[in-house]
Amino acid sequence: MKSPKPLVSVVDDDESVRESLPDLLIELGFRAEAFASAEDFLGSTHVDTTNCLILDVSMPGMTGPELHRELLRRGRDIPVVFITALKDEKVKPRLIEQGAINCLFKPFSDSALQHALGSALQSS
Amino acid sequence: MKKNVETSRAFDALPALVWIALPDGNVDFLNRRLSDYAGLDRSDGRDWDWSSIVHVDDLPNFLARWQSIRASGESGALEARLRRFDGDYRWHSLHCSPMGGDRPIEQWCGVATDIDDLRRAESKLRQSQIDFQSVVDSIPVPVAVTTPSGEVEALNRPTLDYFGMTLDTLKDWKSSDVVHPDDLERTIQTQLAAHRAGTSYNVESRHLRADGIYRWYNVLGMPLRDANGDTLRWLHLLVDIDDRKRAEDALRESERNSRLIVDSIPVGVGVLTPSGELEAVNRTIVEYFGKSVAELKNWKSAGLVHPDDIQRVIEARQQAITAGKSYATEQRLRGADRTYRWFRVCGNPQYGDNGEIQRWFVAYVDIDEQKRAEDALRLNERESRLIIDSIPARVGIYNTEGIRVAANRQAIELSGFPGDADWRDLFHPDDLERAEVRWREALAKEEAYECEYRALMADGTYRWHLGRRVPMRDGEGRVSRWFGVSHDIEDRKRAEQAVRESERQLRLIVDTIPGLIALFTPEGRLEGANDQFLDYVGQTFEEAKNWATNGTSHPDDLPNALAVFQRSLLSGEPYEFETRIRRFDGMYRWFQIRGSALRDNTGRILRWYGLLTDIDDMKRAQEALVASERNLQDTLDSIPARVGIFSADGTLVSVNKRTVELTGIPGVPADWRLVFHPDDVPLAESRWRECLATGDPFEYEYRARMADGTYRWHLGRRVALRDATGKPLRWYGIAHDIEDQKRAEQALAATGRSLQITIDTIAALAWSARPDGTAEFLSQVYLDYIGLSADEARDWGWTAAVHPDDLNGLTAAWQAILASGQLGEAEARLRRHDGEYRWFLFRANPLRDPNGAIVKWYGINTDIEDRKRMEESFRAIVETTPECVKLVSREGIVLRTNAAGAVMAGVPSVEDVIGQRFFDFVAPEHRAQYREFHEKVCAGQKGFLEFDLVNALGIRRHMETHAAPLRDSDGSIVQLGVTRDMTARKQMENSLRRSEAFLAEGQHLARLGSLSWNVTSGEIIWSEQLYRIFEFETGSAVTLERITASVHPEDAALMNDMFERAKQGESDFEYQHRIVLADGSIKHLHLIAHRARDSTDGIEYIGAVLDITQRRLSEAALEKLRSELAHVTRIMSLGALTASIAHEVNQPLAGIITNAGTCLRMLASEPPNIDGARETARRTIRDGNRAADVIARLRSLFSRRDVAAERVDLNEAVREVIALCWSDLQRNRVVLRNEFADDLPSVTGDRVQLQQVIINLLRNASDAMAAVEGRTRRLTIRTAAGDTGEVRFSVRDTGVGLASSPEKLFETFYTTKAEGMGIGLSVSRSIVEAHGGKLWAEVNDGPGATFSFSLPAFAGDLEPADRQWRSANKRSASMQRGF
Repeated sequence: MKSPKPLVSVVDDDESVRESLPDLLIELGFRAEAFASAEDFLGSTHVDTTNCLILDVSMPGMTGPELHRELLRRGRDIPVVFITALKDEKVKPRLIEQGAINCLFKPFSDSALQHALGSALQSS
Repeated sequence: MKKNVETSRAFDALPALVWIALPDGNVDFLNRRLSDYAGLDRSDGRDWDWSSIVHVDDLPNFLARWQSIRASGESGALEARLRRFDGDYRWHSLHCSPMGGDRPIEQWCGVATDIDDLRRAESKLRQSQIDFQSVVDSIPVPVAVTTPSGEVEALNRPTLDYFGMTLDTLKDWKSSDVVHPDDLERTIQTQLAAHRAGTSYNVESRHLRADGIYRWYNVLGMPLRDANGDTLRWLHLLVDIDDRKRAEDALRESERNSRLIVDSIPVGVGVLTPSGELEAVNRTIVEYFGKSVAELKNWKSAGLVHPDDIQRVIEARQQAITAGKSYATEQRLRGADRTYRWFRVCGNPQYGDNGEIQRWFVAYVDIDEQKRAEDALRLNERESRLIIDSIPARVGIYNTEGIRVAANRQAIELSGFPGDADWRDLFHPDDLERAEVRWREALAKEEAYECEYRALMADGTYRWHLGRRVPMRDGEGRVSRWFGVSHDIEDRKRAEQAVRESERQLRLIVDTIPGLIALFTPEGRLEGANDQFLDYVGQTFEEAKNWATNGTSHPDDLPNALAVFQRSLLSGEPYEFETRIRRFDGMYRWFQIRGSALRDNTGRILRWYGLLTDIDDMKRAQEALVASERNLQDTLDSIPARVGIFSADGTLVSVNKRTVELTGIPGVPADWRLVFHPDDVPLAESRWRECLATGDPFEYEYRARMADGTYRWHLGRRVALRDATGKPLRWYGIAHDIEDQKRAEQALAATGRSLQITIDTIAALAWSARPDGTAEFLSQVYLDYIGLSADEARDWGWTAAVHPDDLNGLTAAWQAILASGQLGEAEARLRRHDGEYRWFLFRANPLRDPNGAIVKWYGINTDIEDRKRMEESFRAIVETTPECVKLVSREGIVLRTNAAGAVMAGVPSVEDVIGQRFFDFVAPEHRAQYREFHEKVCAGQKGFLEFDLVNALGIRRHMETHAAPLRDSDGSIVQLGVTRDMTARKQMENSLRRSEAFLAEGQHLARLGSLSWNVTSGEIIWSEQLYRIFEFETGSAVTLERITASVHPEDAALMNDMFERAKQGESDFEYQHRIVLADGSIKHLHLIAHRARDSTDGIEYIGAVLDITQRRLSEAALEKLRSELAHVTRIMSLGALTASIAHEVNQPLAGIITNAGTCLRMLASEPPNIDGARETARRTIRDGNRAADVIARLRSLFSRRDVAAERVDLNEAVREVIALCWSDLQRNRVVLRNEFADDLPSVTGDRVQLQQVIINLLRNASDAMAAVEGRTRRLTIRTAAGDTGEVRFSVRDTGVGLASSPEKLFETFYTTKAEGMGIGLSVSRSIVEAHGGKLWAEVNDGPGATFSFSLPAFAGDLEPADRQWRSANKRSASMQRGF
């Protein structure tokens, strides 16, 4: 059997992202799951199966980076691509330093996302 | 009742207010004048009543009166205020009378006359009368107001007090009731004359005070006139001049006294004009000459001066007056008794202030007796001279230097030298040296000199002389001259030599036998004779043997000589006789012949010796003396006074002829006592015995019996005539008749009595007392004062008037004065006739007779009550003063002190301190210092000392004492010390010092200086710290110039502004300015000054100056930081906003792009996922809308504004803004002046927006002045209520002004500022307009521009304003969109 498609989980409080991004991921050949918050993701079964995480930086409740640290704390080193609507160039290097694969500023192109996911899955 | 038209027209024509009333009082008719006056319609007349025009206060009376007039049926008058058409009330007099003669009365007619002006005048008059009375009452001296006819109209309070009467009583008084009787006539005459003439008068008179004492007053009267010059009333002022009068009296008294003294002295005194004219003389002169002053003026021709003296006197006097120098002459003046007496006349000029001679004083002293005595003395000297000349020896008189000044005739004749020749020329050269040595010794020791010498005789030979010189002493025992007597001892010398010769030859002759020697046998035969003998008699020895028969001895003397000789031969006793012996030339000379027997061992007579001594000279002298005495007697007889000569034992030896004539006793009286008055004998005798014993001159006044048995007073003098050794030989006495002098003395005593009468007329308490102290005489004033008769007061009777408490002291003092015999005084209270005691000073002065004995005491008592009272009140002050006043003796003993002294010493009473040693109270460590201080004070210096005192309770106090030397009653100097307890002050000082130190330190730490500045006087006082801030030398003088010089040039205008404001006395001000120090560094200072509230001398400010350099520097740094921060924040906040907007927009954009990307992928996949693509496209559209929503939401977020429509107090809003901008303004060195209107109406609107406008305007103004130098950057903020209900605000600056038309300023993006955006003013205008107001700009008259806005005032109801506001806000919103 052909190896299963990698699972990419999207965590974002913005509904339009949760709607649009999984379709694009599927188009790009991934399986996709969307969660409205970090807590939802942590409470799901996909924590262990997710191959790559697309994580919004600022969210109500637990933020993206916090979730990332929580996962690392739990030993779940899932490749993370951050996305954010706040274009702060200083944030990106810090996040990468902390282990993120990339950080994309909204709105981002599908190719940029594809490239980032490629890097993420390659690293794993 | 119908009034016809004529009547009413007639009434109308009357120039008075007229009405007609009916019997019931209702007014029927008013004339035009009345209706015009009251402003009434004529038709009102009928139903008109008085209440409409009569003043409400007058109405009840008016109506009642009107009623009563009507009831009486007679004419009547009443007064009331009637209202004029313009509302003013004026007083009227209303006369009402029944019309016609009809009864019953049908009509009343009334006429009102305006008396308002009269009323006013009356009330003014009343007021002026009240004013006048109060003015009169406020005059502090008695004042009386009388009518022109002299009736008393008003008297002020002092008058009533003085006379102790009420106005009513005094009104009826006549001048005679109050004015002293002696002054009455004069006073009344003066006043009458003044009243007649209508002119002011001025009279001095005594007025009776309430206590019964008259006091002198100067009464000034003046007429008060009205405008026409008619006298309305008289004003009489009584000025108390009693003290002046008393002083004048005292002066006159003293002048009279000195006149009395001048008159009573026995010396004549004359006063001459500067040219020598006689002006006045005293009584002595008048009495002596028996002529008046006028007669005496012709003294030159009146024969008053002795003819022998007149020429000399006139010359001497003329010379003196011409030269302006004192002169003295002696002259005989003829007295009233036609006799001349000698006078010494001394003239002395009295000089004026400019040195010119004002007058001459000439004193005439009677020296007649002196002259006579001098004459007598001269006579005496002549006598002595005569006597001396007749002495048969050489007599020389030597001065004290040993030089011979005179010699008697004998000496001159014998020597052939004049009397004043050098005595040394008369001495044999071999004897001279020895003589001179002895003489010098004698002169030096003032002892008698004796020397044998050979004296040169006229024939050039020398003869041996024994010279004796004795000193003559004057009355004081000083040697005045020397008397020398030389006896010729040649013969004796020769004899001595002969003896020596015969000794050699005969060995029998003893050395000492002088003279001619003869030797006789025991039987008496001449046995031998020496050569001298033989030479003398010119006989041979054989011839000489017959001496008894050959005439050798003078036949006259021989019998006696032989008898004596024979007797001696028989008895063997020595013999002695005198006989003349014939010289070889046949001349007889007297010889003294002495002989004695020479015996052998058994006593048998071997031989007789005879010694013949030539005594011829002596004999001659004796004879001359007898002759001289006869001569003297003749001289004495010619003396016109009694002369007597007394033997050395005091027996009267002889008297002169005059004595015999006067006494009528022929020859020598047995006893001088017989001519003395029996009463004078005992004392005279005892004195005479004394004088005889001592040799002193005898002088005595006695009554001598005259030939007619009467006695006359004589002055007798007896002087001793002494021999060469000073032993009195005899006494010469002379007695002068002094009866006349005595009489004169008695006359003088009589004059003294007249003096007493004079004293009686003196208004003083004068008295005289006998030497034993009993009162002899009391002046009438004295007697009147103590209310005793002369008899009652005599002796000690007057003491009844002395206060019992003072009597012992006064008596003791009086006894002491009597004992001292000197002028003295004492104080005591005397009871006046009315029982009141007053203090008096008793002063007594002795009167002495010529012998110095006190004859009488004269005294005057002076009223010192006032002085005593003053002393008592002074003592009371001393007693009550809280400072210790003390007298400390030189030894340190407290003599006196006050109550405070006892408190200080910590003892219950003053008595416990007195007698204590003050040193014992001084703290031990200060004792030495205090002693030194005390000694210095007692040595006469003033002093001040601080010291600690430990009092009896052991409490230590810090004292300070001021001390001065004071002469105590016993004459010693004591310390008068005023000692003050300054412990508390000291503590205060200490704490003050501490507090000042704290303050200074605090100021130093706070870099805060303080100052006071008296603008008026220019005095500036700085605290030490302020000097430090300005880096001025501490304590150096601070002036405005000095301060200005330090001020930063850019702040000079600021300082000038401050000075201006200070000079105007503004209550307080505050400035920040810079000063430039010497080293060029800059300090920022903050000055806050308040005008001192209770300063009495001009404008004074108290201020504080804070050195805010540090703060300023920090602020500057902070400001820089803040502006940077603000910039960053602005960027940051813009960034944050942008980020926030981006975040909001990016979210949907992210969805759109993702969906669009997905859509494209879905369409591009094979087969194309159309449904998916449609779904994503739909989602893209949805997200696009969502993004638009975000933008819209943002828009609405930013455009939404909470507008507040509230009531705003513009003044308060401005103050808040100023508070916000204060530091900016200060930094720009803007001087802010607020002119806020009080009671400014509120406005409606948005406080914050309005404040933004105000900030904007202030900033603009401040910026406009930023480049201004050299003038004050003044910003004046003014609020005011406008005329049409709007509120105005304006900001006036002194900046660069407006460069273009004011309207252009308000265009958007128009700016004159380099950094400006150009939107401030346009925004401000839109905000103001949004509030329904206006904003505009104007160019000032002076420099700068004024920006103002006006806003409608708050209308009281918020709603309409709110409405207006909202509608305005809509416009504002539209304008905002246009930004």
